[in-house]
Amino acid sequence: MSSIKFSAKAYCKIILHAAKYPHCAINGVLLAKSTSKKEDIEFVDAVPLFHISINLTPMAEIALMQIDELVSKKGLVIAGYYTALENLKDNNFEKAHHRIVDKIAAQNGSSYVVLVNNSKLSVYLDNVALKVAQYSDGNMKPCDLHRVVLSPDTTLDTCSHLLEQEAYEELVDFDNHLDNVSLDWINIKLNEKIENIL
Amino acid sequence: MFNLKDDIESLRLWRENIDRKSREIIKLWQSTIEDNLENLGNEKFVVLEQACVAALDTYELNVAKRCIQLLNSAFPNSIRVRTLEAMWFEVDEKYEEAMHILENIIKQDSTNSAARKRKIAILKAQGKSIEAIKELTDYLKIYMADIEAWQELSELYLNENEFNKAAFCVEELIIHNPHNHLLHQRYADIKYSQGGQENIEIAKNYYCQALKLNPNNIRALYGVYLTGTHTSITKNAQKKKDSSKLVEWSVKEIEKRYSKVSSPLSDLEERLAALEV
Repeated sequence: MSSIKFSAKAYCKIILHAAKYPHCAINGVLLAKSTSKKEDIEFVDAVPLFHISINLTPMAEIALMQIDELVSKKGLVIAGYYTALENLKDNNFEKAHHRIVDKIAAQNGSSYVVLVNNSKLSVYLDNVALKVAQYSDGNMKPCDLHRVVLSPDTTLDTCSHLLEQEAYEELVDFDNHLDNVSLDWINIKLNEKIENIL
Repeated sequence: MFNLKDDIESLRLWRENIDRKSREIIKLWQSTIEDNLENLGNEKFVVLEQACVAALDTYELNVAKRCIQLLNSAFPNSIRVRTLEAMWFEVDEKYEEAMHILENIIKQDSTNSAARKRKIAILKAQGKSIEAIKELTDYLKIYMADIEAWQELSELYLNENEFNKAAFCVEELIIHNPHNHLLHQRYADIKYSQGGQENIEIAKNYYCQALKLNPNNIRALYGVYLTGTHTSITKNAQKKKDSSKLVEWSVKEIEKRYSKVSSPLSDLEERLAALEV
């Protein structure tokens, strides 16, 4: 069976983003190599986007334009969308849909939708706290969780460690950037930190 | 001991700004406040209330319990303390018990807005957003000047993608506070999300107004760029010219904002290249 791979950088940043704003919905996009095949996708990085009213679109357009421009030079492409919903009990894909998903699907033919599984989040992660679906032609098709692979396989420990260190304080999303443009949503320092712990 | 004064000051500041700093509050509670309750003077009970809410927010049930007990012995029949008790049940998802306490408070004091708001929060926690919206609109018929409530209603409508109604709430907020640039920007954000030529024109005007009120609002600046790009696609020559001029200006201004940053972002040129027409 084909796999859906998450790098440590991608996985940790999704979880840290959710941990930084436990009381609101958050979202972001996932990057994959533009050469990667449709079936065997690997998300190498994540860009955290918003935590303030994620349903509003203008700043999302700006963010996508800038991300697209920047990552295409590095041979990457926006291939997925991630979100954590506001209500702890909301764990279904129905509410996870966002106009960004349509945009990605329009560009790539389909899009992955990654939902933080709120019920599996804790300070010590022993499970992949994500749910993944594939979206195409207006349909959300949930993927088998066995296909989700973290690489390297110590990623969960790394992520727990980062949570313990309260590394989420360092995470910058696009909303933080818009509040203070000197903060960078690429999260260079945090990326280094993740790589160092690995 | 020597930083007690600073900590009290931080707590005061967060209270005044209504910042949601629950994790930070609990840290201060554990490091200094808890052992110095008697040195807080007049503020002791407000701080207890603040710590209690923060503890409930972070699931520090022991801290919350201690705060409620202390408050209860000081004010045995206080409605305000009973509201905290209701929240204690909320944390454990014992919504019926919480509702029961809140209903009793409202029966006893029909003007108690805090209890009514908690009821709406419970509906929200249960995922009953339609009911929450209904309760909140009923609430706003009585408390028309409650700014927080209008803000919350606007958010609830946005979650349901009811842009028109969300915009209406922000209009109310603008009437209450016409010089707040964030509200003008928020109104424009909603109108833009709604789409359509007419709405985008409106959004453009509101982004401009937001910028006039606060030239540092970068969201509004990007908004001017976006709406300007949209309105420049027209057959009307004059309008086209005006919009293009506006777009050009906004890109220049955006570049200026980024050049002022002390430690420049990497690949800045590429990021902003996305904006070139």
